[in-house]
Amino acid sequence: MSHHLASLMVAGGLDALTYSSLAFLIASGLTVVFGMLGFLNVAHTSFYMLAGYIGFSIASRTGSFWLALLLAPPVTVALGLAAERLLFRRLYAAGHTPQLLLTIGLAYVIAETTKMIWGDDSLALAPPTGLGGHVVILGATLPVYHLFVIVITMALVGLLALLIGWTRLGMVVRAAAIHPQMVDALGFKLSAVHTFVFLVGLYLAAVAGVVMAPMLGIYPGMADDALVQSFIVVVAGGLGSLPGAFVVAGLLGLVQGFGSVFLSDYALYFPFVVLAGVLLVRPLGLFGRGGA
Amino acid sequence: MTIPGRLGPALSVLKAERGRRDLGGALATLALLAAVAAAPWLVPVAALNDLGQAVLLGLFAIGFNIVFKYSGLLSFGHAAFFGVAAYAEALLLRAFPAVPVPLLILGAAAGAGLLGLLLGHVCVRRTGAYFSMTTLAVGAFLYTIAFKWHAVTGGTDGLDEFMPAALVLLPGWRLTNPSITEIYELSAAFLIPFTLATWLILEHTPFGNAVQLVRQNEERAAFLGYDTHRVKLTNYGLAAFVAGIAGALWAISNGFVSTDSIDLTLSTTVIIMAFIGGTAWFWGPLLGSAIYIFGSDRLSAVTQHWQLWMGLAFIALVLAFPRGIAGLASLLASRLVRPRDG
Repeated sequence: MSHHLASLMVAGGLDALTYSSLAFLIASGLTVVFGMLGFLNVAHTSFYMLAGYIGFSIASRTGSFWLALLLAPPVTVALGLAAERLLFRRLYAAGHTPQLLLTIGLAYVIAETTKMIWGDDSLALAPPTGLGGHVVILGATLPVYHLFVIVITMALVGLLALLIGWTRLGMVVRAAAIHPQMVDALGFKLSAVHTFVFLVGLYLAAVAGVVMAPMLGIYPGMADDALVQSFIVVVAGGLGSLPGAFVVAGLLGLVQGFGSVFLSDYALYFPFVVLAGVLLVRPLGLFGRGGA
Repeated sequence: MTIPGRLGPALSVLKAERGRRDLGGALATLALLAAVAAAPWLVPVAALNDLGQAVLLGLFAIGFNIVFKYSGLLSFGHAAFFGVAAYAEALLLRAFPAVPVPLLILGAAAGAGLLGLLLGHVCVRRTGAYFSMTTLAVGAFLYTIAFKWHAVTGGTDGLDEFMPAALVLLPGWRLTNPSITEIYELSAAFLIPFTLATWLILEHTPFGNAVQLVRQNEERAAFLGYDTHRVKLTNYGLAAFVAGIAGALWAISNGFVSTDSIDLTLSTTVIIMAFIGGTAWFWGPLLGSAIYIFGSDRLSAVTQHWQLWMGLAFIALVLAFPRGIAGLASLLASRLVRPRDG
């Protein structure tokens, strides 16, 4: 019996880590851009969905998942750059309402464009050869692919931490988050820093979109599903806080991973339980500092 | 023409601003409401179905805009109240087919209003983007309940066959198999008095003044002794109630309620409608809803992917005319009346 429990714990733990990884990849860009630029991009998860579809097309044309993972995120980021240059830039100083409205319109356009190109049905993408199998750890049968998702997320987050914490570019980004006027006065182009941060966030979400495809498929509602989850991460994590997003994504993964093992009927409610729990203890979010 | 206010300069500024817009706004309001009331005689029956949807979604959009225009808060989950009232109306009609329908509608809407007061406790404490994100999460939560609680909501199947054979309007006054025209008239009979009453409350009562004062300067309102949280909360409840009336009527006019009436898409659609019409004018969202419904109808006759064009048009509108069609009209009107007058 205890052996059975141990295998359940392992399975739940792996699910938790996989879910947290994806939640963090998707939401981190949203929360950082919101924190630094005060820009709330409702279309953020639309780009995540777009990456999934583009990845699907690349993989089904070339037969290579790896090529999809390599190429789909940069293509998505290029589209995001176009949106930033043409649209978002005009509204950085305009306040939340026009930003929200504009990005709602863009989310509409992206949703309908993907339906036009790829149809209304859910699409399935097979995991790459070698990652389609299962391994048995402590009596639990685990999909190898989930382990891969965790590893690739850790690698990306590690790289990002190195980039932000240990390079000159990272130093400018960190400074721009705290004292933008000073960074501007020192001669750095603030708008270029903002664009860089925006694109890195989109890149992470786009990777999540491709990586997600073999697990849950690609479907027209995935942008909305991810948007709700990401808003929960941002609100519960606190104003633009990356550590907050990290912790909340972890919490979401924990309740989702273990909850779906023990209380699978109620799994859809868990994210809201986390949100309500966090807001009860800390009304401004875990790492919230004012900002009402 | 400043009216000296007894509550201090803040109020007289409000009133002066109001005075200038009064005449044109009042004429436009009269024209719009007269059009809503006279529609069954003006448009062919074939268009009345669309118009009925436009009027109910317009009422819903007015409910959304009560929070935006008067409290400065953009709700991203207002379909929660519309949807809860729609489900409640369906269940009430099934349980009490002999009770007059207006009572059931008021009951369902009151339920939505109470829910608004309850959920508002969490949402209304936040401002700006945080309010929007929190309301989206709350709306998604209620959607999840509607989606999962199959025994009550029918889940993805939704609820149908709840309409009684004869709709009891008043004791002794029944509609047997109500026609599209009669359902439309029922909707208009609720929309006109309830929106007028809401407008009066928000524009011409001490409560309305308090709501506007809190939006314009919350700190000042607090110093004047207003409980600003309670003022915003009450306004949020009122907005939920108005959305609830629209939702309850929606259940009756469609004879069917599904998760479509509580989902994120509806919450975004109502935002788009409100801003197309213009949020600065109380009735703007009603205008916007009509433009949206008839625009999408025309577009979908031409292309299957009308939402793409709707999205592009909306982006253009947000960039070019952020105050919507009503804002554009009032700008043009003021140019006409007073050319070159700054």
